[in-house]
Amino acid sequence: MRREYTTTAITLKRARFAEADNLVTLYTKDKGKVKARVAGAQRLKSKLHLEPLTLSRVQVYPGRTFNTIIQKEILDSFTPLKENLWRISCGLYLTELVDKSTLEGVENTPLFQLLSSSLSFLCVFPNEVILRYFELHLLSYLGFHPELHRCVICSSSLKPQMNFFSPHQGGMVCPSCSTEQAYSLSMEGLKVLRFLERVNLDTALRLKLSPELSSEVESTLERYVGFVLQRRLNLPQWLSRLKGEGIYSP
Amino acid sequence: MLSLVQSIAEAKQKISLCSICQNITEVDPCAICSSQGRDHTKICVVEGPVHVEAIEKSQKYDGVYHVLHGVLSPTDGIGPDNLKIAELMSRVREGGIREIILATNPNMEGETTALYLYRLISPLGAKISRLAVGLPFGSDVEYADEITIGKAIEGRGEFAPRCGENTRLRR
Repeated sequence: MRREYTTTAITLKRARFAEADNLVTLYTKDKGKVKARVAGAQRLKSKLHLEPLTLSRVQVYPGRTFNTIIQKEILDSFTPLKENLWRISCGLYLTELVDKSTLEGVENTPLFQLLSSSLSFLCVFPNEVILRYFELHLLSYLGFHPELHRCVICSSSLKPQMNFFSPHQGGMVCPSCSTEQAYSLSMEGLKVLRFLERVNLDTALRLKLSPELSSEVESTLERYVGFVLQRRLNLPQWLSRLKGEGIYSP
Repeated sequence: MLSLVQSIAEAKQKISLCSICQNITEVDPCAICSSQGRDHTKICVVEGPVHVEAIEKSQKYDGVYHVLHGVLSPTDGIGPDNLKIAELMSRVREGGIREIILATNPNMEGETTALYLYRLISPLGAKISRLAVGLPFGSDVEYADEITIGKAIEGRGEFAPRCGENTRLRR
């Protein structure tokens, strides 16, 4: 029986393994997250080397302990992404989110397509809106889509005023139901989230946000992502550092 | 067995980091930093001490080094504070440096480190260069991967062999 399979994959992570091998974490179109060993990848003449942030066609042989990459063909190495520190860091943030929010072997083709298209857009438009769009839709594909139209506690429609977002409740909370675990969110911030919720990525890029509004939306989604994943992410701190040092040049 | 233990203890006692280049050494400053025959206006920035050895073996470099003791890896939480970047910056700020060669590995972490250092060093005026990426000697174009061939084409040099001399590429 033929056991090996061929799939399209984006490399999320690469780590050194044994003498000259690498252990790569891939996000595949058909099989979700897959960890695989790349034998001899560190050797100078290896043709199987897989770098993070690369879209490839790979042939995988499933093994008892490890899957093994038998062949690979690069489809897109997202070169413009890798020539700019800010873009590369944004790309790594998306791969970290996918790596830390998914389980091995759980297929999620829409998430694969979201990651692939977001990386392609980042090559051309290194806009922070892509990160916010990705966070919101990643949460939806994982089953944690936030409620943005009604109060999650009393189900009443939200009035055009300062409302609250509760990561614990999974959505918006009206002022009368607000708890200590909810954070204030302006009507403009809420409108941005609703806009990102309903449009495609191409349209989302038309959004121009003031620094204050951008920061409000970012912190709202960051808190919700942190609550859902219950894991510490390394890239948000790195991105903040780059911004602080003035290294923010899309 | 006892001699092995003694050797390890002796190595621990004697070996320290060079106060200039941060390479491991028995004497401070190290032999390369204290050599008068080397070009001290040229610094080659490498990831680790083994890379100094590899470049020295080529016998093509006459400048000095700076060892970072790692590379930036934001995914693993390794940032500039975990590397010897502050020491490099103080060397560059002291002045007298004409060229910085970024010799980190041509992979994701190496490129991230090179891009970060470029942003820090470029306002200070020193010339910044990067190690060429291309086909290893003795390899075959047919078996090289797409990124390597692409980089080799981008970074190709003028082929200018001279009669009676070794064939070489002039950039």
